Amino acid sequence: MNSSLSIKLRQCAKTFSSGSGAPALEPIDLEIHPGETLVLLGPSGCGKTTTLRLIAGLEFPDAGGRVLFGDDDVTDLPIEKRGVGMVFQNYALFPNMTVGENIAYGLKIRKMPAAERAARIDTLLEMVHLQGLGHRRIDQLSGGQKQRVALARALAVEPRVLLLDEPLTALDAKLRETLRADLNQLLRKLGITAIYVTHDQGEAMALGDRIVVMERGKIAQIGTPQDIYYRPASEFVADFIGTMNRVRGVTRVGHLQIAAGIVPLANANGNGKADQQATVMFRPEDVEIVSLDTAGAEMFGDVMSTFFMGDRTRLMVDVGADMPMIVETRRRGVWHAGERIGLRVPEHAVMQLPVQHFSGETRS
Amino acid sequence: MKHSLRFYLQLTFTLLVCAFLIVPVVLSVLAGVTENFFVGLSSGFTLRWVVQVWDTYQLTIWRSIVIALACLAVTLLVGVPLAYMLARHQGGNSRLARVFEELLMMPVAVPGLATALALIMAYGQYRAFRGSLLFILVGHVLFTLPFMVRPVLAVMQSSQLAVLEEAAASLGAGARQRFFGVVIPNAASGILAGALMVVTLSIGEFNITWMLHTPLTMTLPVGLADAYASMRLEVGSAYTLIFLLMIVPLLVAMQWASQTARTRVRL
Repeated sequence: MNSSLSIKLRQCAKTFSSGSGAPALEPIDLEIHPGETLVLLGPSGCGKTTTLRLIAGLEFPDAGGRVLFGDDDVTDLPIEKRGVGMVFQNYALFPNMTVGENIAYGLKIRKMPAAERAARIDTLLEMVHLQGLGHRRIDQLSGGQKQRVALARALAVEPRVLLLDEPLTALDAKLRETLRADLNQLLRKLGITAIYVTHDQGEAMALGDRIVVMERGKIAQIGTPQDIYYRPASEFVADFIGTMNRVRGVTRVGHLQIAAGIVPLANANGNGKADQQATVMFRPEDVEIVSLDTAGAEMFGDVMSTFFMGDRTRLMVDVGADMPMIVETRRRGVWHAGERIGLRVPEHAVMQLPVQHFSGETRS
Repeated sequence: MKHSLRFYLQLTFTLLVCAFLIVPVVLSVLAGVTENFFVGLSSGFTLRWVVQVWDTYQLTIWRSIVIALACLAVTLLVGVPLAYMLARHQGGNSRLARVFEELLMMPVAVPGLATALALIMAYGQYRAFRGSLLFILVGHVLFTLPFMVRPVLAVMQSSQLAVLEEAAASLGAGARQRFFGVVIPNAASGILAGALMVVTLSIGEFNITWMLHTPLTMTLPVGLADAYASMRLEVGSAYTLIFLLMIVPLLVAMQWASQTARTRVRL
């Protein structure tokens, strides 16, 4: 493979002429380090695919935006001149060609001699664990096999960067996990700069060296998977990644008073003022179930329903608020609906974020 | 297996309708090989009329084939790129694409005589053009072009062509390589269906051709009308027989092509 490439987006915005006139992408700056796997994550319509297509050269940024591959300004180059490899959600394999012909397409375009091509096809088939399937027709492959062929085809031309647009979305859950692991291994081994678009947070966490969470054409947060999960920069990020409990209460010294009890607040998070309305968040797995009679119980609630999920049990607990509190525990035990339980959250797990009122900010 | 009364009633009705449609064809074919149709089949069978048609009207048959093939060539060269452009323009669903498609259909909706008249008024003074097969060809292309564009456009829209092209481009293929290496092969079933349709329609076209033709540019269907009008019924019927022999294989091929096209889309 070629030595890894860094990619920079400078003030790249995109407005589609057929749309509402509002930009699909606000001007963004983004730097992708050589050899890293960067995941663009967000709900549909957040601009993640548009960002990928700008990098690919399938779309061009509004005036003023620049796309840099290493030190080369590729802003005006079409995709066929950028040396990228691309994997699409719906495979986009050529149905009129065999597996081998699909993989060799880019090599043929580059006029590689037939013998060399054949050897390369074999190497690539082996790389994606499809040895001996070179002569199959595309319609004889399963979804997972198709995506492996698409990956081999994209890698065949030794691209400077690999772009993956929701490559696992069309597959069923089990297969998705296997292919995800293979993909992860392959990307690490090749050390190729890769940009991966997904709306699946699990995929993003598993594959990304860094994750870019996007929202409404803007970057909401950039960080490692741990950053994004443990230190979300906004309510949007916190809500989008994993499950989050959100409780309202009144600040007291060192804790937040809520209907069901108290939630500890670190001094740094307490804003110094008492008797203020505040909202805090914490994750279901950070809530501990404690017995009612010990002094450790800081909140009390009634179990509404339980879901046994094998490795853990999820409880919906009525704590006297609008929304039930979600609690996940790995403890073995059986809880019944209507049972009263004690709960506590460690201070380090409690997040207090600046509240953003998006509805007031949005363009109409 | 026991069937209800309802089944037999439906079967009878269906067979009656079929008979209603097929009997004239059978009669016509029989007339073409009967010694004297007014006397009846008892007068005996003969290939005399077929031979006579061949001797008299052979040229019209060749002419029809030449025009049909030329018409196919033109509709391929014009229609396939046109369908491609329409498909690429916002997936073929833009207002412009729809208006264009409707305009293409116009010569099919407008009576052929009117189309032909307009052609004669506009270009009739160019004598050499007016008297050549080219003039007939223009009429046929006008009439058959939508039948090439439509199936090709349909296949192009259904085969996620845009994504396939993006994939090809990402692998370094330029516009020309994409068109011939990806677009054309993946629209092949539509192109084949369109091609058979165009040839079939061109061979049978009467309305426009009848107005445009000169004695030297008479085609098969026009010759057929001529034969019925000016010769024995048996000669005209023999002519029909020859026409059927030419057109039936094309119709069968058309069915086969649309069948394969459907199978491919299902995959």
